[in-house]
Amino acid sequence: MTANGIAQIVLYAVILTALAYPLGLYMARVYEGTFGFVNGRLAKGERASCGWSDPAPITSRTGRATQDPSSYSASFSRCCSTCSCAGRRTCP
Amino acid sequence: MLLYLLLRWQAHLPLNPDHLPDVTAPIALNTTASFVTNTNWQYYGGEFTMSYLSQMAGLAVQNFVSAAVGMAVLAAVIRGFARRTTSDLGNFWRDLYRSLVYILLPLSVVLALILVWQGVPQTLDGHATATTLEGAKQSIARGPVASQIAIKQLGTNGGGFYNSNSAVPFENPNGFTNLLEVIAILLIPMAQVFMFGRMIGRMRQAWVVWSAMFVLMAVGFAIAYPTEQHGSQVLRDSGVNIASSSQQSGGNMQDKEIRFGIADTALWATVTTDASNGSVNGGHDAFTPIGGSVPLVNIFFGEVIWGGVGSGLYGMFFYILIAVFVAGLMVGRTPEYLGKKIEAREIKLAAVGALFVPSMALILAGISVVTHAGLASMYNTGAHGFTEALYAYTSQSNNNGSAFAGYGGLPFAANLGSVALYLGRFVPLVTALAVGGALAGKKTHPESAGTFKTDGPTFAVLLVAIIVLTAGLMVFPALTLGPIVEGLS
Repeated sequence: MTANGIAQIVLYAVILTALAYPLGLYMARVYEGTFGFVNGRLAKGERASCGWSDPAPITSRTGRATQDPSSYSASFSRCCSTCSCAGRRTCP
Repeated sequence: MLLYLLLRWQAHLPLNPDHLPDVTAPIALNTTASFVTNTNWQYYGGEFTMSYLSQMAGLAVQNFVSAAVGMAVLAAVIRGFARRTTSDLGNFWRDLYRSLVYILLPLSVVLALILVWQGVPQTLDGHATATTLEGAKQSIARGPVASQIAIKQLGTNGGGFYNSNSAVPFENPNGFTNLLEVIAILLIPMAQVFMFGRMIGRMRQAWVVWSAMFVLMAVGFAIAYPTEQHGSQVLRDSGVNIASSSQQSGGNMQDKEIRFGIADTALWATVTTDASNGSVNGGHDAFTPIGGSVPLVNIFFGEVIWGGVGSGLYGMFFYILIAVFVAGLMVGRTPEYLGKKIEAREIKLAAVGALFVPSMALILAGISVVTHAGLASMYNTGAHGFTEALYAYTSQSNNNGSAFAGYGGLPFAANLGSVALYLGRFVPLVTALAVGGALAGKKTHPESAGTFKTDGPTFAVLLVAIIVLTAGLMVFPALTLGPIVEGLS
């Protein structure tokens, strides 16, 4: 092993961790939907890509969401954690 | 299906300037399985097998999507840890879209542009023809390389545009690109550890997982680098000067690039097998027996030392649950992790997740060395040949994709490999989702004086020990038949 070789490896580990830490925090915000542009213009594509698989509209169609206040709150939290509600302030 | 058909009909489709023929059925099947499962095991040489359309619309698309699938599954499993008494782990399509559009694509565009700047080709023209100094005609393969290499590194895919992967100057022209590409291998897997910490709101837990992974990576490198620098007994006995000096790298330089030397090749070999990347900048086959066993053991740990994008951390969760369970047995309390009680169901799932793939790898390697059709794929004989076969099925089962060069893509090996690829990807993936679902439905309990702390160095040490004991002991008998026998003889 040479000093040059070891120095390169240490440099690698430092750069990698320094880049990965902020990227990890950014990725957490992306998946939590709290990063700015996740709910911006690009979110249209997101809703188009996943709207058909969203369970929320089925809940709405049964009518339970507006008739039963207890199921409304459950429906609200369920709906607002799914993609078709991204960016909306109120549950449809 | 689309990828398979694309490969089978590429001769009749556009963007094939060098008129490459259709890919044969077993190789197309294996390649499809390989790229869909984020493995990129290659029974072919890219530049003389795949048309540009196959590379771009087929393989590169899978490089993105298979990586995004792993990331989406990880996001769902982390929500299982973070949420309480719910069955909602999120929406798969939303997470897939977010992984692709907000993470993989921007990073890939930036890296691809830097690679083009450094001299990596990005063109749709066919092979260039050059005249050598002796007057002979030489055909130089090129194509849309930079865009492929960027996602190949970032998505822990590893499938090179060229047969010799990142050892080729057109994939990896200089020391700077080598540094960037080796960083790209671990960037997202390491970032996901910090992402986990942020999503559960406990960064100390993330640093514990980071420490365990870092220690395992450092130990692997600390074995591979000096062993390669020391060279093999045969090399030392031959009288060749293998001392390191300002004029030469010294050590075992067979199948290593002079541009990178032993340190960077040993680093790449360690990192690419810690992650489920599988790209190479040198030949693992030509490593010394002990140096070459480092990549093999790394893969055998189940790709949890950082591991594949998404798949690495959800694989690590299996070991974390087992470690918590063992700790619970030792202190005589109900095992808990992040305030959730770990019960029989989760432990059974974790055991399946941690043990299925290594068991399958050993069984398939066993089949390949006791059947005539399997033996026909071996290039070397004896202990080294056995290591080739063991490496081939360990790599495919764990979705790594690197190889001990020489193991041949005959139909039997290609089809057996396809089984390893699919089962190795989807059994742990579904198991991880089941663990996430089971945990999401649980309440969280406040920590008490008797709770085993999982946010300190004690747990990191326990986690490393559990990984080494569980996977290490499984592979040890096979290692004694391959690299250890070879190293002693």
